[in-house]
Amino acid sequence: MKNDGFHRPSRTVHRKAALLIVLSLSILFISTRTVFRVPDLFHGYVIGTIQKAFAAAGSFVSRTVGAVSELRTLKKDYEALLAKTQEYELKEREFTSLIEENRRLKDLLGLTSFPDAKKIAAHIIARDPGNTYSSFVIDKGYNEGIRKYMPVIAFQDGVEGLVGKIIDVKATTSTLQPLYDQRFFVAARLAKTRAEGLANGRGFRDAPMTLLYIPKTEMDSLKQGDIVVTSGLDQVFPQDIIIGRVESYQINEFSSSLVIAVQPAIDLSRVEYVFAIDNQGTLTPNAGGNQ
Amino acid sequence: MRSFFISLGASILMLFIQSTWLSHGIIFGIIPDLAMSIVLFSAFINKDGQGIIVAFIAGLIADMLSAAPLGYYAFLYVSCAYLATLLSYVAEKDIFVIPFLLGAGAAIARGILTRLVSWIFAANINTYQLFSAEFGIELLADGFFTVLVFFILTFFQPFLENSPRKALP
Repeated sequence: MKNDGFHRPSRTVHRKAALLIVLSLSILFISTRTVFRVPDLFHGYVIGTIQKAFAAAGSFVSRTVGAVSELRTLKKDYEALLAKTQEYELKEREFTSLIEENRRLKDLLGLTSFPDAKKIAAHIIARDPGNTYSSFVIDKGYNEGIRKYMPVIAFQDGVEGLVGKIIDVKATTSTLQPLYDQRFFVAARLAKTRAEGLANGRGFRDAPMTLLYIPKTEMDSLKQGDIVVTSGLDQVFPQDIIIGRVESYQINEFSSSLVIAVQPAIDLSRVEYVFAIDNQGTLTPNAGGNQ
Repeated sequence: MRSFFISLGASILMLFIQSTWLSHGIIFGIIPDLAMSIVLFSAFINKDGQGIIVAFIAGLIADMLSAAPLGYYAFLYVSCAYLATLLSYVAEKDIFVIPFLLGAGAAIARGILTRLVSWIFAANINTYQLFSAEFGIELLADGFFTVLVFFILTFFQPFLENSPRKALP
């Protein structure tokens, strides 16, 4: 026990705490029913500007520190690159012919990635400060044409994969919900067998997603590494965007479907740039309206 | 009043740092809640409830930086700050045990309170998975980082304390 004269908290402390807890819950009550919106000027411009400033400062420092250590390896890399250049020249010829062949085949099949969609490139400038929510903040807002529920993809190691969807749009920044968020759902299907299910995030960046409602009858053909893509049935995401690969699956005795763990195709811890897909016109008119 | 604004400014600064420079996490992708550590320090050394008000405003700023609904972090921060203020009446601040208990205890309180909030407000409320490895890591990280934050802030205690004369024997 302390002997400084403060043996019991005063009533004022209890009153302050009770008042602020009630106030917080009241705000939460109102905001979860979207009655109250933070004034857009403050939320959209001030917060966004500060986040951009912090991201720029952090980027400057990390690049400066990185540049010093990078100089040491540059010479070694340069020599290795010279040797590789020759190798790549040969490969390039082969690659060009493959691109041409791919284009012709796509034309024949009528498949192109989002033919009518505009892609808006954006930089991830901030993430959620806590661990329960997992939003990303990108540096593009409604001024640049971003709209709520736009699908967001990224390119990484030659793969075009799903990142998430836009859940909040401000003037110069937007918030995107990544696919590992526990409230993220996407209609998905197995690329090989076209069996349809629903993929859901588990709340942690490194934890695989869960693919539900794939019938047990698919078990024989299901293999580790099978590709999972969007089905397009949710009217939010265009079909055939790669979500990830099957990592493992569980069989529940009393259920008619499998529980499949899906490792996302895009490593979201390394993503810096993303593309919001303006799919207006590629989906049905009420796309995303019921979200 | 000066100590109020310094505590608030420090916790808001930490929130911005958490959402930008520390956004990839420190340990296994987990972001330690440094803003909460500052709020806990303020609540523990200011027995008059000043830390609770700091917690409320810092919580509202956290809500704006997050995808969480407005009021979510405000509620969590105020509740944890209140518990820290109550603890200050029965325990002395030391170098390790009390800060660790405060940091880790605040993580447990957040875990339980998010469950409670999700029962009351079903829409758009994310919860901690209390028995997951990630929550265990977060609990330990918050405990150890709170020890570190308390150690550093002890040097600046006169600037963060509302009435330093009351702390004298």
